[in-house]
Amino acid sequence: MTIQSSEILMYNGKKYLFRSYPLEVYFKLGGRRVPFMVDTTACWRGYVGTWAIDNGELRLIDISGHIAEEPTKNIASRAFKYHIDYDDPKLCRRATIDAIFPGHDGPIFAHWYSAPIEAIDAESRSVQLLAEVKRGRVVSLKTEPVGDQA
Amino acid sequence: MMVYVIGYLLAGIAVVFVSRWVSRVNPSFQDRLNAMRESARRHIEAELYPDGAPLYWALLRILGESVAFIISVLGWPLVAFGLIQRLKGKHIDHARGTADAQAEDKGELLREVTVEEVERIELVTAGGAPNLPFGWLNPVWLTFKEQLKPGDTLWQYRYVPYEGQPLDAWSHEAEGYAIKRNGVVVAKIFSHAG
Repeated sequence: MTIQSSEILMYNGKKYLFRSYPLEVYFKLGGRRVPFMVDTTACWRGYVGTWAIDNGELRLIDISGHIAEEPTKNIASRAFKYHIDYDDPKLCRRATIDAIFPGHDGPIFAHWYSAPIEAIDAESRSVQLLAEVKRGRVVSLKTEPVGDQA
Repeated sequence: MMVYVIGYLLAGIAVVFVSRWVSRVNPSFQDRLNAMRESARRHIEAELYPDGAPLYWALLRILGESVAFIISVLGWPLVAFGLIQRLKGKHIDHARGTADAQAEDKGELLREVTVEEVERIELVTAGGAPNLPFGWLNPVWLTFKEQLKPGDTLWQYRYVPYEGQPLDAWSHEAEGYAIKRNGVVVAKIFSHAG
């Protein structure tokens, strides 16, 4: 199985990577899912979300990926099998927060999300961030060197 | 005799196309694996032949696919058997899922609540989310609420992950509400999960 691309978490000006997917939880809860183009088997969800912990809240601040337009909707989940011009506006458009949360560009408070987040420093890979999120609020958080779990 | 042969082949072609259509609209784990193999093959091909694959390569692929198609058409009863087993399996999985859901409901209904109480508890007032019950998920709540009928009861519900749970079940504790009708849970909504 191909390793899936991580989500991005910004905290205190640092970039972390994590492999839990708050937007997938949102879609599973009944939130509006849009047809993301799956352009690689390393990202079956078709997008990468950028999140931030700000003011004690987990917030979606950006999303990257492409959303299928009418001609490509039926093949969006297996777009990697085709040679698609991702710059062609007739075929797809860049993913935006507004496409999922109409009328809002973000940040989006992830009030639906309750789970631990284990993230790793994107640059050094030597620091991990461990957070407990309840209803989108960070109830505990610590950063520590990797492998230093007490 | 010829009529029977043509009939057999036509049935084979139909079965193969139905089987491929099912794989396309409802891909199984195996189909996803095949898709990944196909993707890997394309990547290798692009590495080996950055300026485009030679003609014999394309001919080999066409030959391979044709042989696979002919074998499938000739052996269509096997393909049909596989297709039936697959659809049966889905039916069994669905039935098992429903049974599991009901078993979970029995153990995790916490207390009876009212609509007004739920709307008070689930009102999202922070972080720029819509100032409504269930915030961004308010339309899901409205749809859920419409299912309430006279005599139904509304319950606070908690899902706790367990060993051997379905793969698509919540990985962490999730909370929400359930509608109980004649002693059976008929609908659920989660307010937060992970």
